[in-house]
Amino acid sequence: MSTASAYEVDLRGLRLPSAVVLGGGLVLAHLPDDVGVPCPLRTLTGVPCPFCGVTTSIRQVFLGRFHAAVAAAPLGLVVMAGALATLLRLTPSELRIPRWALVAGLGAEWVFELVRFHLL
Amino acid sequence: MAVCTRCASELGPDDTVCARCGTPVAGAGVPAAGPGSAPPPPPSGGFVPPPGSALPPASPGFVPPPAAPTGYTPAPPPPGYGQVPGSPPPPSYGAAPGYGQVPGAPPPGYMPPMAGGYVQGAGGDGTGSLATWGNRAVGLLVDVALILVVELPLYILGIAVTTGFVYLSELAGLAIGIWFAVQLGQTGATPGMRMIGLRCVGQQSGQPIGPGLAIVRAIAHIVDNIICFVGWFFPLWDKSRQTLADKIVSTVVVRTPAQPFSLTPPAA
Repeated sequence: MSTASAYEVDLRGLRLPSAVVLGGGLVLAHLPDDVGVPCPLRTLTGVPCPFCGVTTSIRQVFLGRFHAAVAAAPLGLVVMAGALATLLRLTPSELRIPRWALVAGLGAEWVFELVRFHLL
Repeated sequence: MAVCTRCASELGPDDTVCARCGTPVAGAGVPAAGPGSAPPPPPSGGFVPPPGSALPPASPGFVPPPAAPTGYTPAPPPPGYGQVPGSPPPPSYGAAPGYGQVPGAPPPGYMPPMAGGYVQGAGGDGTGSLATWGNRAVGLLVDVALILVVELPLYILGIAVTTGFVYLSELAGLAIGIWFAVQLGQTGATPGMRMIGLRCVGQQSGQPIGPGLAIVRAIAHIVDNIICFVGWFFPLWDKSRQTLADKIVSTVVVRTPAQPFSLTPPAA
């Protein structure tokens, strides 16, 4: 697979960020309200970005509400799984993701969010 | 002034190899083959060919190199070889490995422009390697702090006195941001980046990108912000340690020796 057709990911050095993601989710789960990152795109235009709902999704996982986590953003589960795998050293040091898969995945996530916010 | 084709160091008129990186000077009479097949250096105090001679004639003290192995064709002597009568042969002649450096390996700090991203080896202090997300974040925080030092008092004045100061604070922040972007374009670094030891260069050229493209890069950071600020975190996992703005304008941020804090670039 050529470099142009794949997005190269370097997974080394991601253990601390993974710990921050999981630790942050744990803290958020114990907060009374759903505190998320205010998306600039949604704040300015009302249109969500592909990454909207990820914080909520991670929080819902820590609350044991997997259905709600998927309903908020399936990408959140992918992020959590990736963070967990990185912490447990189950991931390779490098990864090559086909660009079509990346575009398709993020595109599907965006469509999901647009439907969730009743824009589609 | 001739410069080395590899590290761009200035070369003396008699240099046959670069004193910095050991690269043979094109057309300087050093065989293009590896160090193992290079002829031995002339003995000290020995051969000084007459000016303009095409080939070194036999003379007392001159020991011709041994016969070359089959297939080996020594490069012809360069024009002007040994033009300075009496000057000793360069100490680095044919002795690049003697510098304690792997033959052919770039010297510490050398950053060759590479297609497809800077993933080359770095110097012992990390110079020349791609900057980590942490390095870049600290450099950015310093720059933001500098802007806030000016912007925040004006903003507070705007709340306390008149709203005109609010607009003034925003204008001041914008002006400082443009000033920093111009510095980045001209020298490769903003004040915060210099302090941390970072340099933003073109991915292909390895050189600062110029003020115009640097301002485009600053504007392109909108893309990093607009998607829940995820673009700022790309250097954590991106192979080329680029943000989305870096990808848009094809830049990378590399490590350089840290410099004392200064608002303006130090004089060259």
